[in-house]
Amino acid sequence: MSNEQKYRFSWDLLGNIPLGRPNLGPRTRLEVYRLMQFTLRDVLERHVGAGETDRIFLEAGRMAGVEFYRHFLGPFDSFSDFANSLQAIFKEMDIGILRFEQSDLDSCTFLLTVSEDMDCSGLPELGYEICTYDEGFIAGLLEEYTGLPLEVQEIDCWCTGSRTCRFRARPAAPSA
Amino acid sequence: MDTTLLEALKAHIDAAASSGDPQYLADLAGLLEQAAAGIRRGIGQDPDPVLRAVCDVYYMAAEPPDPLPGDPEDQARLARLLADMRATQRFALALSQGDLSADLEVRGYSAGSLKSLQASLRHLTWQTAMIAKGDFSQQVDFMGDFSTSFNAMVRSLAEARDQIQRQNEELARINASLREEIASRRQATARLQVQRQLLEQREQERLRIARDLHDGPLQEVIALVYALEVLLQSCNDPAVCETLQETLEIALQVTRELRQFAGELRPPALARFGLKKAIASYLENFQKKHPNLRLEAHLDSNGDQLSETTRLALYRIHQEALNNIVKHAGASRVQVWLQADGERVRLRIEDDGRGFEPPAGWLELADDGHLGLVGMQERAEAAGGQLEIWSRPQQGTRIQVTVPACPSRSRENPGER
Ligand SMILES: [Zn+2]
Repeated sequence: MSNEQKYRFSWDLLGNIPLGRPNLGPRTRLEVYRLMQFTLRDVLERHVGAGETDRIFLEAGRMAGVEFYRHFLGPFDSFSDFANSLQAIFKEMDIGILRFEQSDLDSCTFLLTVSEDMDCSGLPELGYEICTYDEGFIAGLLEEYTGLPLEVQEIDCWCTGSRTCRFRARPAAPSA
Repeated sequence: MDTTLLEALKAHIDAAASSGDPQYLADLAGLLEQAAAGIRRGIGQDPDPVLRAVCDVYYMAAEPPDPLPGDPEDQARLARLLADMRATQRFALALSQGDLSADLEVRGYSAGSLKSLQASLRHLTWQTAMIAKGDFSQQVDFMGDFSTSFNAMVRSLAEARDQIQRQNEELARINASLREEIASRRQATARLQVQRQLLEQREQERLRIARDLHDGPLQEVIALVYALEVLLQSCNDPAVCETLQETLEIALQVTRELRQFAGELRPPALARFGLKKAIASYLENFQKKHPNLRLEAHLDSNGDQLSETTRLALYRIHQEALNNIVKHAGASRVQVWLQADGERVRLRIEDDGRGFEPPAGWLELADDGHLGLVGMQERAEAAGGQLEIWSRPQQGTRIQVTVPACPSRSRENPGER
């Protein structure tokens, strides 16, 4: 069996949804999304370990953020426009309720929350943050806007008892 | 304090009892039972024992027995629960004191709702900062009535900003037009200055010609008159005498005309006799020269409130107007008015002659050869006044010049300071 990549991402891979689902449309139940994510995570963790799985989710999330920004957002005249549009599209596409808590374009640091998100809202309390894919997704979005490599960390999560997930973004430490 | 509240507390503890250490939680439930009994007894009596009992419950929860009851697994669970409760208490206290730090360490569902509240307040803080930077698109869609007030405030701010912007634009527009006006006034002032200098030069030129006429041709013709008179005295031939007499008459006529011409060129003694007298005297001579013209003068002002230069301008305009009438109008009746009110002096010359179609502007007037009118206009303008011309073919002509009374001497004649 060849190990050559078969599905290099492109937006075309998502297909023509109006054509393909004339009756059901673009939406699906959240359980289905979570079922896919958590079964995938289960298999990956068993094959490559939890740490590597986190890195994979982060990388995939970042790719998704970049593609999402290019397809649905930007370019923007001002940060306000970007923030408003991001907030609006998160709500419109039922991704979550996004709110900025801090935005400093000079130091390129951001703090934002996503409530009622797709990954962790309503999950049992685990004592650690689990929204690794979202960290990547938000990093991808903010990197596309700022043009700088960023590091995003989830500092509050439903799984640590919070009712909202909080993410901190700051410039990535230069890799050694 | 009412019993239903305590009963609710009891229900809460009962629910907790189903999952916690039976012994410890039974103690809590017992205490609550006592509190509930106390409050039942205490209604309408001393509330202190009831409050003490309730406080005991909470105090017990905050300061649990050491060691904790139950097996090690229960103890670990309880320890975590108690740590969460303490963190929640600290978080709630910090929040109540206005600390909105995102780094306040707290975990667990009991703190989760407070964290949501904190997140809302943090987002509001961010929105306020964005508004302070001029982003009036911020709207709050949570927090009930507060949202309505907040959004109304943002709308008012946006309206105020828009209004200020509009006012600034209006101010900029007014500024620009003021600058334009100042520039055009400067140009007009400079033009007036040049006009005044030209008119001054013209007056001096006229004076020079008048002197030349007086000292040159006039003296020579007078010498000719003397010579003719001497010849006439010694003349014996009647035919020659007659010719000499006729020549003498012509020479005398030439002296009169040269004198009058020189007189017209020389500025009148306005300072000594006043404008009214100068015009009246000119009109008198004019009537003598043109006896067929019906000349009416209504001279009600002496122009005393005008500067010397302005009076000379009015005098020259009237002179030019009358000469024009003689040259072009073929009029039978001419009226001259000189009137003044507190603010203006008005000179008007009206004839019933053949008139003309006045061109649209002064440039066309000059192009059409009405140089006399252009000169009048220049004099009126240089005096800070206005010249108006009404005329129609076959309907006569009316020329009116209005000059402001008491113009400031510095504007009128900067050199006199
Ligand atoms: Zn989360």
